[in-house]
Amino acid sequence: MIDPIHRHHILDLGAEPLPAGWFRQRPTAPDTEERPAPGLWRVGPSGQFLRALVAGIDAAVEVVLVASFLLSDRSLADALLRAASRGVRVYVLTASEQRVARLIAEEDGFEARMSDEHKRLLAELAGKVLLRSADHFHAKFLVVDPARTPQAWLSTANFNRALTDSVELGVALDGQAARDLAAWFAWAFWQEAERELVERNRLRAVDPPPASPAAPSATQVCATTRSQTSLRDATIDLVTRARKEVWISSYGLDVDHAAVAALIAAARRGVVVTVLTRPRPNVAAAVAALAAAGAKILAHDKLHAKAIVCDAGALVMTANLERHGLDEGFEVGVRLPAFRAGGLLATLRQWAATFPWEYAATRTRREHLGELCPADARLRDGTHQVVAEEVLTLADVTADDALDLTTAPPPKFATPKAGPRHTRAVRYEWKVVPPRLPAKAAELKRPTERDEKVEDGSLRKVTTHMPYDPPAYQLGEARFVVLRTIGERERARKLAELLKAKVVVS
Amino acid sequence: MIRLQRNIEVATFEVEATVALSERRPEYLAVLRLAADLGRPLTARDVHRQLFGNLPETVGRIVLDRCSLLGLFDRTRPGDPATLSSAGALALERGGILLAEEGLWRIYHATDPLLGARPLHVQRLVDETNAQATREVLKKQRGRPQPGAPVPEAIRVGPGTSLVDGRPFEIRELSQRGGIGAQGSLRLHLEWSESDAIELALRGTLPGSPKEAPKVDRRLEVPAACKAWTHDRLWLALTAYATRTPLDELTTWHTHTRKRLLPRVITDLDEATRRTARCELTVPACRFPDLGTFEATRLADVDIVPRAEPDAQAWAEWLQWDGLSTYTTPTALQTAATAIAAKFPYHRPRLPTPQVLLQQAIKNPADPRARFLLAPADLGLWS
Repeated sequence: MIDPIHRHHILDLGAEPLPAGWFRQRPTAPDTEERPAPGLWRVGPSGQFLRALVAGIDAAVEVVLVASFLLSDRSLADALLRAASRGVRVYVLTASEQRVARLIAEEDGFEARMSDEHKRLLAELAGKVLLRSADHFHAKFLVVDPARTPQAWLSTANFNRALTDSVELGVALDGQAARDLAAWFAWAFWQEAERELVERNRLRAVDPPPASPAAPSATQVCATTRSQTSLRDATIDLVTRARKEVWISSYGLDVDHAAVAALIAAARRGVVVTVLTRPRPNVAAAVAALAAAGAKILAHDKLHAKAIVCDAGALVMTANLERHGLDEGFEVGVRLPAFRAGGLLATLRQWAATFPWEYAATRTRREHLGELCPADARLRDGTHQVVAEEVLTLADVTADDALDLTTAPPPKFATPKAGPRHTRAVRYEWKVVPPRLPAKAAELKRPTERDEKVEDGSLRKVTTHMPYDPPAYQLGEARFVVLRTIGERERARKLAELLKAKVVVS
Repeated sequence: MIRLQRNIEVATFEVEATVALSERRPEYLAVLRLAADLGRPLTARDVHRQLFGNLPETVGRIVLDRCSLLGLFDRTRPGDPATLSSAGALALERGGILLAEEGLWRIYHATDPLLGARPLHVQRLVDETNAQATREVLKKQRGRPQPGAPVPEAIRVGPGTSLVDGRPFEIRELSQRGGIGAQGSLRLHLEWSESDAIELALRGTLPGSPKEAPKVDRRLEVPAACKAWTHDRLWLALTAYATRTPLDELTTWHTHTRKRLLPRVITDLDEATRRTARCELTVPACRFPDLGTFEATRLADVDIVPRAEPDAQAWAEWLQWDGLSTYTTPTALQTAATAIAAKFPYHRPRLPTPQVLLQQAIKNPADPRARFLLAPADLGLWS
């Protein structure tokens, strides 16, 4: 019989643009190297930095100062309680409960569980530590025995599970830098705190301080407080003075902020700017502007570190490049000496080489295969996929003549609808099948004359109707020759020509 | 202010008696006023001319005779000029004329160390419309043996003043026996101000049916027994009694300081008293030989002083630590120490220095007040 023939058509969509966003370069993986340089930590699953903090608290003799936007790490809390029980005075600065509650709505990485853990731990510390809070407290650091043998650690991670889960940095400080950090703590405690935890689950508005603390030095440790912005100034100054390259890591990027504007300006004047961030809608506008200026933008699902390295210096800080941080928060940053700046630079380079996401504003389907996250979407809401080819099987096409399937016209090719799946090429597949005899067609017979002997023995002409071979049929004006076997092919063709019929199969 | 109170028992006695009650009678008072103004014996003509010029002259005589009959004027013979009597002068002063009535009276009376034994109020029991009939009944009864109780000692012939309305009265005649009526009580209030002004008052309701019982709220003349006391002497006596402090010790403090002070050992004082150096003292029921027995009372705003130097030292140190209610600095602590020392003018407590206090806080960081020292010291406010 006549077999259908298989046809296909490939629609090349490789030139189609993809949405601006984050293009996966490699799988997301936690940081592996946790001690890139002496006094510098990268947060990782083995928790080396967390252990350093706990050890610092356990070694405290007189005083422990803790500042963290969120505070819910169990091992740190236990260390603070141990310190308090042995007579060490423990002071804590943290974000207000109202501010933490607002984060649930504002931040895509923030969950109600984190707020609950924070509140639960604060209740546990009540009466054992002296805790003050304010809406704008965001700094994260630890200072131990500032008057005796000062030791300090500045952390970009909140003191919660971020200390093992996120991509973060930690820096150790001692001597004058640790004392400076303690001075900033004292300043915020007396001048900027809004509420004090007076008993379990009860915060009271703080009274004015009995005296003003001395204004801290912003030489090595700079800060943003309500009364000054040395951290903001230092950040912008570093970027502005960069001549060759700027490496910057920030969880938040505000397109309207002067620090981001400085980065854009640096990129436009030829400085190689590499920005590491987290793929979030909140940074979309800033990364678009930075990318347009020529900056390279890379991201990690859990990046939270905030740091700058450039030929003008290096800074690790707690502030994002945003108004609510550099301009209005209580944030701190430490200028790194050269030997640590090298370690930081190596870290940022390594991160850039291993981070899973790269931002691109204009990329075609031909230029990317795999996962992408549109800039205005959140990772947790699902990502898009770019695939090499998508096969679409179309309905069969019936040829006009069973003996001529090849000239059957192709079907219509509908372009796939836009969605989270982007294909470089669409392969449309269909079959061309021979036409079939219509059900109501009546057999067509040919008239044949023959001699028939009558009673008197004479012959007379008799016309009879005989089937065609192969058989023919008619429906209305249309005639059909039915091809029964492939061996009848030639006969069918000739009969069809004779009858002006189409060859069909039954 | 010292306030003492007690109940006094009030009894009633119903008896036939002649009782004069003060009444405002303008016609007689005008004659008395005339006599006082003229300053000489008064004639019927004086009365007629000055007071009743448009009436017959005999009116002057009738009025003057009536005044004399009421005892308001003295005269040797009828028709003589009449001289204002002491009763007349008193009536003029009080603005009322004592008019005697004979009949059945209820006399309220009491006996108390401060009141003595005396009638407190008189009340006529028979309607005046039947006065004549009553008089006749009483006349018939006179001279016969009478049933009932003898007249109580508190009721005797003589003047008095009603506690109910302040009207003067005078019991002029009394039957020898009568009936004992309802009994009740009144509250006696005795108050001494610090300036030794004394007020004695009776308040309450006299015995009787609730609807008719007369209400009493009357200040009384202060008896001599009260005047023998001063406010401070009474305060010292009550305080010594209430606190079992030797009266000599209290008196010595009072003599030397000219203030009413209660010396106490600090361990006897609760926190509120330590903070204010003042208390409200509860005085149990007490009895004074000359003033009588009083119910328990309270002495307000009793100033407390340390009994001895160690008490003052401990108290001052306690105040200093207790005063740590907010974060502080050495300068503020010094100022507070000076202020606390000034609260002990009769002692010389030596208060710990800020550094000593800080060491105390470091040794005991769990003390709720320790943080008010530790935080400023640890966080840059201590230099």
